[in-house]
Amino acid sequence: MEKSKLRIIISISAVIFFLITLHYIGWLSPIEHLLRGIVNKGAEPIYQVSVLDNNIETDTHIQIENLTMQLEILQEENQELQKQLLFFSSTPYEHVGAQIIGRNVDPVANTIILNKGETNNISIGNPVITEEGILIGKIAKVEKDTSIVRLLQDGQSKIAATIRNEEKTIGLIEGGYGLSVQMNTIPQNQNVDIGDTVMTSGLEQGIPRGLYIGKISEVQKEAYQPFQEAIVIPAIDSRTLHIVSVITQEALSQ
Amino acid sequence: MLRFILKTIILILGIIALIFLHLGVSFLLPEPINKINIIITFITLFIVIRETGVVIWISLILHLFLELYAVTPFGSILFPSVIATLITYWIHRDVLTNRSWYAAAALSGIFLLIYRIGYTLIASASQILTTKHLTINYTNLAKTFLWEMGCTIILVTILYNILVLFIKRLQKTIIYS
Repeated sequence: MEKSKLRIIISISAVIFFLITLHYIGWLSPIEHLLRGIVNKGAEPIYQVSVLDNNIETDTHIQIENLTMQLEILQEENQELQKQLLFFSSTPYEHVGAQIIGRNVDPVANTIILNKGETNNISIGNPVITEEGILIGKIAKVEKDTSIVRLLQDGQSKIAATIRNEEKTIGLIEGGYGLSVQMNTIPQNQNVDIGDTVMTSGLEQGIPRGLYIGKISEVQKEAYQPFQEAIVIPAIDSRTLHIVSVITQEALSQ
Repeated sequence: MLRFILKTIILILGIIALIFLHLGVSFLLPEPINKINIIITFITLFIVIRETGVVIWISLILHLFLELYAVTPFGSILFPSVIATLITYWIHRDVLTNRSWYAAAALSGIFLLIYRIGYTLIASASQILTTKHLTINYTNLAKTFLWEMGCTIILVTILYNILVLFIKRLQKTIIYS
């Protein structure tokens, strides 16, 4: 390689490593805060439009007036809040309510951005639920005022789960299969049927037992494989959500 | 001086507009079309049209925005994306020098390949260093990357063919004259 090209690569790498160092020592945080503020301002209205778009059932062209759109958003948020309050009134979990202000900015990831963070006692690994205790994902990254949730459908998502059948089958829910998820490591000798309910098993630190995930839509059983696999349809479409709740770590350790 | 200030303001506004466009595509389009990488589309077309090294710094700023919302350690997106921009720029300057839709498509494919290989290596290394084992599902990651590559290459091709109608230096009559 030419010396000049090598010199260019080294100097650019040095600049990037300098930026990375500034980030980890905290000197970049004012700039990061400013940039996040700019992005969040724009992301929130775009996200609200995308949720409304996903909730429209007819495929005819609809002209949405600004006030009608805001009213619909408020009504949906109200319904979501009521269902979540109902869930928490019968469970001992402490939680933090958060508004979704955006979705994945990297095409590879399947994440949502919340408007609550470290200052609200949210930490990495906290489960995120909606409605009547339906799990949608886990907190993957926390900043001061925002946090990022890795959804169940994300390719790197793994959740310990159990099936509500006679054998109380346990397995691992993994994402990366489009809109559905797959339950892996199901022992061959367990009876798994289409329509069985899947929920969290409580075997994973930080995630309580009994959070609803979805229902089995297909079972893949090959005699030569050590484990079965099941396709699970999540109970809720995360693209239609406005408000979620984060079950905080402190309550779970009590 | 005024011209420089104006250019800088336009550049900053353009970067912010591009970020919002990237968010819009990601939020509004259905799967798997929302895998289109608008930022890489823009960078590739910028390399082919403007042919200037300033694209490296524009790529750094754009990917810094993405880095703020990534779940991987800081730097996993920034480092491979900027190095991929640099290598793609050199490839266009020295190898794929022609201004054509297939060169633009090939450059975007090469960019994504270098970027995502670097991203995967850094993400894997950081996971091994922090948790001591590897839990990345490479098959799923590869499927997502392929969708991203396919959709982005198609968009680059379409946009290039549209831009040819408006930008003189891309037109064959100018190139061959």
